[in-house]
Amino acid sequence: MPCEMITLQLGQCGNQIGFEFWKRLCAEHGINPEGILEDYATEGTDRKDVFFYQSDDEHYIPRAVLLDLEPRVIHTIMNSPYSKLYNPENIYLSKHGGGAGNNWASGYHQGEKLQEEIFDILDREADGSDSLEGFVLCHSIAGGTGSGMGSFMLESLADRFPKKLIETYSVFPNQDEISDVVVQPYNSLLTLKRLTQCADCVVVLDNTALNRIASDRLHIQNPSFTQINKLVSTIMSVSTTTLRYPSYMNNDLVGLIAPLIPTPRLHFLMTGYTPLTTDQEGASVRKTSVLDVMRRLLQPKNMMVSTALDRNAAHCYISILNIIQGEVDPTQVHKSLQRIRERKLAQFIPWGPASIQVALSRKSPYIQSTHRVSGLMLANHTNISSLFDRALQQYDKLRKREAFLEQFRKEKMFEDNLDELDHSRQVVEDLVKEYQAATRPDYLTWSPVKSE
Amino acid sequence: MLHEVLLSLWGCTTNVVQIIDTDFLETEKLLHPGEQALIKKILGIAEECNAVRNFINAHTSVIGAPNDATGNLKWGLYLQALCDGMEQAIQPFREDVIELEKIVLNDAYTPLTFILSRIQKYLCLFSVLNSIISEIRTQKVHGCKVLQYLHQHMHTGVPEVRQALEKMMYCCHVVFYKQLSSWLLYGILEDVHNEFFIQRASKPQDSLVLAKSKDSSGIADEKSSKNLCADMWDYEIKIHVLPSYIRPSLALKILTIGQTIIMFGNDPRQKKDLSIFTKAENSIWGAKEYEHFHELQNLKNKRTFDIIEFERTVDELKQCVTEHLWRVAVEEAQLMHQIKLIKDFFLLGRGELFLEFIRLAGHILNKKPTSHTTRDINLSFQIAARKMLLHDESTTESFDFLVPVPEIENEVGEDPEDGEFSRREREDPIDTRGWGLIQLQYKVVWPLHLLFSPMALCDYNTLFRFLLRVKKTQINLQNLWSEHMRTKNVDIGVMQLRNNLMFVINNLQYYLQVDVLESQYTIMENTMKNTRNFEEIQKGHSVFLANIMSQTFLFQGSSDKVNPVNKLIKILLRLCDDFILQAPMWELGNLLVTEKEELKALADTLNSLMDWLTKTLNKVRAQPAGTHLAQLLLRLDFNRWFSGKS
Repeated sequence: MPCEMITLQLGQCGNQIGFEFWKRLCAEHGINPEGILEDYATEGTDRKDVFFYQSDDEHYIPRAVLLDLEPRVIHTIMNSPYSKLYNPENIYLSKHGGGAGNNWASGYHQGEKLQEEIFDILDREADGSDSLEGFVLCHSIAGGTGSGMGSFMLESLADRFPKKLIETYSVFPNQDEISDVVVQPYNSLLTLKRLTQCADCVVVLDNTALNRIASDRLHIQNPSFTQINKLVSTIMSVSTTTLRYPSYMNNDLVGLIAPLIPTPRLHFLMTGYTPLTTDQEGASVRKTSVLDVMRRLLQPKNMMVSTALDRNAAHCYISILNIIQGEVDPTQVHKSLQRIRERKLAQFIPWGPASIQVALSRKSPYIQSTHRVSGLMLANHTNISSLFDRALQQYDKLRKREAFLEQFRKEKMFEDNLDELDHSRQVVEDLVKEYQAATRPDYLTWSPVKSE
Repeated sequence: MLHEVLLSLWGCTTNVVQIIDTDFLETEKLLHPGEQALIKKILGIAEECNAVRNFINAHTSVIGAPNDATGNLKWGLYLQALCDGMEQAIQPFREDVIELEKIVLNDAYTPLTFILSRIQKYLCLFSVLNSIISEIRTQKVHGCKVLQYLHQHMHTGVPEVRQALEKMMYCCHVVFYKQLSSWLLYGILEDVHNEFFIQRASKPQDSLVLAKSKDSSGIADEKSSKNLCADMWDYEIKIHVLPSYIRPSLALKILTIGQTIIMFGNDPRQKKDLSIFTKAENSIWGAKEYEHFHELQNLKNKRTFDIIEFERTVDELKQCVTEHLWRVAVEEAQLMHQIKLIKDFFLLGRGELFLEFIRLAGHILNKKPTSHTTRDINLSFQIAARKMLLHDESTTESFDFLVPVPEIENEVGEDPEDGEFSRREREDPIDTRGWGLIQLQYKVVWPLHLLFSPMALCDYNTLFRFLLRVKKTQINLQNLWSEHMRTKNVDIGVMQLRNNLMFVINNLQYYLQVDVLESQYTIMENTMKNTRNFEEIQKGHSVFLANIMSQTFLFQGSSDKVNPVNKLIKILLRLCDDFILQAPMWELGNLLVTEKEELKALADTLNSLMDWLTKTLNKVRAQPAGTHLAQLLLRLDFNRWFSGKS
C-alpha cells in the first residue's frame, strides 16, 4: 500500500490529540476500538492502509508511535476502550517516568539518549510499509517532551529519512491564560527553529484561537481539553481525508502540500473549519452550500489561528486549499470562486499566481452529520508571522531578564553558552521577515542576509 | 363486330383496328363514320388497358425471370404486389366488360355509345396507372420506394382512381407490413430482394467491441453467432428506398427497435445454449408479443395507410424496447456501476491508483514502446491495483492496456514549408513514446456497447492519455518540489518557475476534473437516474462525452485545425517536461551562467505562453459557448497574475 504515513505522538499534548485523532479515524473507517472492522464497513473503497495496517489476525493497527517521558496520558489511553488498538511495541514510555519537567533542553537530551530505542520502533514501522511517504508529528511546542524531544525527533527524522516528508500538527500555547510553564517562550522558540528548518509542513493549531472558538462560537464556557482536542481531531482527520478517501486529486501528501508551499520556509499552514458545532447543539442547522462554506472559511473568526492585526504589512494569502466534503454540486465550485473573486474576499500575494484550490472529497459514510456540506481550509497566510512575532516578543521579555535560564544551563547544549537560543531567535526572526517580505511584490529578490 | 370490340377490351388481339384502318370501303358500308370514331375511342381505352396488362403480365410470372421479360426492372415482392394490386384495380373494368357481353348477347343492337359510356370512366384510371408504370420504369424503382410513387398519386379527386390506388397501396403494404413486423418483432429481415428500407450494410463497420467479446467467448460461439444473428451495427437505413411519407426520424426509430432486438439475440449470456435463443427474443416482448403483432396486423388490415396511427404504434414498440433495454442495462448490467468504472479509470477518478501506476510504469512509458511494453504496462497496472487493494477482481479484469508499437516511419526529408523548425522538432517527442500511445481497453459489459461504442471508447482514450499526461507532469513537478525542499537553498528563480508551472498544471487539473468532468458527470448521472428510458440514457451519455471532449479542448472536428487552447496546453506540458528534464541537472544553489540562460528561456516561454493563453481565453470567453473558457481562465488567473503581467 503506497503513501503510508507514520504518526508520531510526543508528550502529553501530542498523545492527547493523537488519541482523539485515532478515535476519529476509527469511527470514520468503521473500525471498532479493538481494531476490528465493523460488519457494516467491510465494503468500501476507503484507504484504511494509509494510517493503519492489518495484523495477521485481520486487526487494524494504527501506524502510530506513542512516545512520552511521563506515564500519565499514555496510561489513560491504555485504560481506555482503545487500549487494544495500538501495537504495544510502539508505545514507548521512558523508564524513569519523570518527564521533561517542561524543559525543552531536558526533552531534547532525553530524546538523544533514547534515540536508538525509538528508531528501532520507527525503522520497524518504516520497513513494514510498502512505500512510506512521510511522518506526521503531533506535539505541542510549549511543554518539555513535545517540544524538546519533538525537536530532536524532527532533526533526526530529517537526517535519517531524508526522502520522507515530515508534516507536523503543532499546538501553540494559549496566550489568553497565564501558563504554568514559565519557560514556555524559550521552549517555543527553540522548537520553532526546528519546525522551520526540518519540517516540510507545519499545521499550526493555536490554542488561543481554539479556546476562543470554543467559547465564542460553540458557547462552551471553560472548554475542556477533550473538547478542544475534538476540534483538533476534526482538523487532522479532514486534512487527511483526500489521502484516505481516494478521489481524482491530492491523493498523496506531497500533492496536498506542495501547491501550498512555494518556498521552503513558508510552510506554516493555518486552518479553518466550518460549520462548527458541538454534540449538544445539533438543532441549529444552518443552510450550507459550497459558496456558503467557502465564504465562511475566509472569515477570520473561523480560523484556528489567532493573528494580531499588523498595520505594517498588507497581509495576504500565499495559497489556499479548501477541502469540501458532503453533497456538493461540482458546478457550484466555479460560481463560488467567481463570487469570491468579485467580492475580493481574499487578498493574494503580489509576486506570483495564486488561487483558491478546491478539493471535493468524500465523507465517511459511517458518521452522520446534520450538515450537507462542510469544509476545511488549509491556508498559507503571511499573517501567521504575527504568531511568531508574539513568540519572539515573549522570548525577548524573558531573555532580557535572563529569567529561568539556569534550568537550561544544566543541560549539555547550554552548558557553555546560550548560542543555541540566540541562533533560534535569529531563525525565527528571519522567518517573520520572510513572511513579511512575502506580502511585497519584491519578495523574489528578498534574502535574509540583505534584510539585516 | 361488337364482340370483336369486347374481345379487344378484354385484351385479346383482334383485327378491329385493321378492319377500321384498312378496309375503308367495307367499313363504310357497315359502319357509320360516327361509329368508327366511337370504336377508335374504345380501342384507345383498350390500348391503355393493354399497356397496364402487359406490365402486369411481364412482372407477375412466379418464377420471376429477372432479366428477360421484365426488361430493366428488378424483380421484387413490391413489384409483384403492385401488379396484384393493379390486377385488382382493373377488376371492375373486367366485370364491366363481362356485363357488357351479357348485354350484347341479349341485345345485338346495343349501341357503341353504350359500351363507350360504360368503360369511358376507366380511361382516367388507366392513364394514372400508366403514368405510375412509366415512372417506375424510367426511375427503375425498386423495393418499397414503389409505395412512394403510389402515394404521390393518392391525392386525387376521382373516386375510381382513388379506390383503385387504395387497393394497390393495400397490396403493397401487405408486403411492407410483413417485412416491418418481422423486423420490428424479431429483428429479422425477410427480404430476399433487398427491398426494405433497412438493409444490411454492404461493408460491416468495424465492430471492435463485439469482436472482442466474441473472442473471449470462444470460437464455437463466434461461429454460431455469425450464422444466427448478425451484428446490430450491420444494418442501416437506405434513404433512397425509404418512402417519403415515412420521416427519416421514424425510420431511425424502426431501425433502432430492430437493432435492439438483434442485440438481445446476441446476448452473450444466452449464447451458450442455442435452444434458448428463441426464448431470448420473446423475453423482450414477453406476453406482449402477441398484442403487438395484432396491432401491426390491424394496421395492415386497414384499408388506407394511417401514418399517425403507424407512428404511434412504432413509438409504442420503441417505448417497450427501450424500457426493456433500460431494465437490462441499468439493472442487469449495472449501468451506473459501469459508468463509474469508466470515470474511475478512463477519467482517472481513482487518482490514487493512477498515482501508483504512474510511479511504477512511468519509466516504461518514457521510452518508445517495444513488443513487450504492453505486457510490462499491464503488469505494473496489476501491481498498482493490488497495492491499492482493489479486491474486486472483476473490476481490474475489465481493463487492460495496449501500447501499440509504432510503425517505423519512412524518413521523409525535411518539410520544405517549415523554414525554421523541422517537423521533427515541432512534434512533441512524447507522442511517439509510451505516454502518447498508451491505450486503455475496456471489456464492455453487454449490452452497454450501445453506449460505449468503439468511437466513444476512442474518445475516452484520447481523454485518458491527456489526463494521464497532465497527472504525470504534476507528479514530476511535485517530486521536484520535494527535492527542492530538501536542498533548502535553491535559487529563487528556479523555485518560482517551478511554482508557476505547478500552479498552472494544478489548476488545469482542477479545471479538468472539477469544472468539466465532475460537473458534467453529475449532470449525466442525474439524467440517468431520472429516466426509465434507455434512449434518454444514451442521449445523456453522448451529451456528456461531447461536452467533456469539447471542454477539455480535445474535440477534433472534421477539419484538421487544432483547437488553439489545446495547442497551447500541449506546448505548456512540453515546457514542463523540458523543465523537469533540465532542472535536476542544474547547480541549484548557485546557477551557472548557461543554466541561468536556460532558466530564463524557460521562464520567458512560460510567460509568453500564459500571455497567449489568457488572451485567447479572454477573447472568446464572452461568447455564449465560452463559459468553460471563462472557468479555465478564472482558475488560472485567479489573482490576475498572468493577465496583469503583460
